[in-house]
Amino acid sequence: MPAEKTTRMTCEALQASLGNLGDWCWSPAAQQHLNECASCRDLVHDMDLLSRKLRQLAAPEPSPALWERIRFQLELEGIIRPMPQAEETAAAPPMPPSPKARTSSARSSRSRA
Amino acid sequence: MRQQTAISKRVAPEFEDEAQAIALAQQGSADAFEYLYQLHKRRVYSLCLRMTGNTAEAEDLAQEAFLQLFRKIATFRGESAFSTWLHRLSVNVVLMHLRRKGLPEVSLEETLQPLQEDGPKRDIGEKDKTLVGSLDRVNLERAIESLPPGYRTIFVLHDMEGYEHNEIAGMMGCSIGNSKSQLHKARMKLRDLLRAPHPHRGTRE
Repeated sequence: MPAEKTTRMTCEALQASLGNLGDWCWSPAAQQHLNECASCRDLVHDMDLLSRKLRQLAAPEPSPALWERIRFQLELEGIIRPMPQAEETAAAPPMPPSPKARTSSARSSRSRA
Repeated sequence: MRQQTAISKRVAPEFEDEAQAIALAQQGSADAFEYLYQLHKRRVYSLCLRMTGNTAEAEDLAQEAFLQLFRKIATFRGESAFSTWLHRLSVNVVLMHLRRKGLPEVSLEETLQPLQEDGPKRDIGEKDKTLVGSLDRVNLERAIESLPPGYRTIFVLHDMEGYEHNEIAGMMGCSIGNSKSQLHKARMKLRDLLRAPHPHRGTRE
């Protein structure tokens, strides 16, 4: 059958057709080749497995010191600037007097009395 | 999932979303910079680590990528995704570093030794028919690290970072065909590394 002749595929051609891992879209010729070629079936199996395992790899975390280094440099270059209304103090109530201040004012009011 | 929990605990500053943090970072807010850093540090660092295979170099490059980004953040107008901008910038930082080191990113003229493992044929001394028994996380990380730098770069960019061949070709100054061919060789090399006997195989995970 002439049609069969044109659909023959070599191992090299099949490998060249591998695109994104695990996202295979086989042509009839490629499918036929895979049915007949155990080596290429093994290869595709391995690539599928690799694809799944890659998706499971966790992204490693840099050391905590990295942010400190970046922040230091940003401050040095004046990229980090004091905010006009500091975010942490904008809505905060006034600080209560320190225990020392309270003690000394209590003492003075007592001595006045 | 465990690591996700660890991340969320580590994130100190809180913002409504990334856009708000970007707007405040453009005004120089330290908390906004830290928020953006915490949001993207893993992806940037892992890209740098996988492309270099060296933790100290990876931290230096991640630092450089974030600094370059933060220096230019005032020019960010939101036409493209912030993460796309950052990751593209990070790739460029790593590629520049590799160029300075003189390591081949991609062998334009197939200068690397031709690999025996270009095809699926194998016979002598073969133990595993497929990778089932050997492909655990530790071995996979180790094998990626062991790839020759040129292959590792293409593999990480395409199969791990999801860049297309035309983007890789543009970034690396090679043809699309060359990128495809190098990726195929990188995959075959990785497959061979994973099939090779390893002293630690089976002792972890």
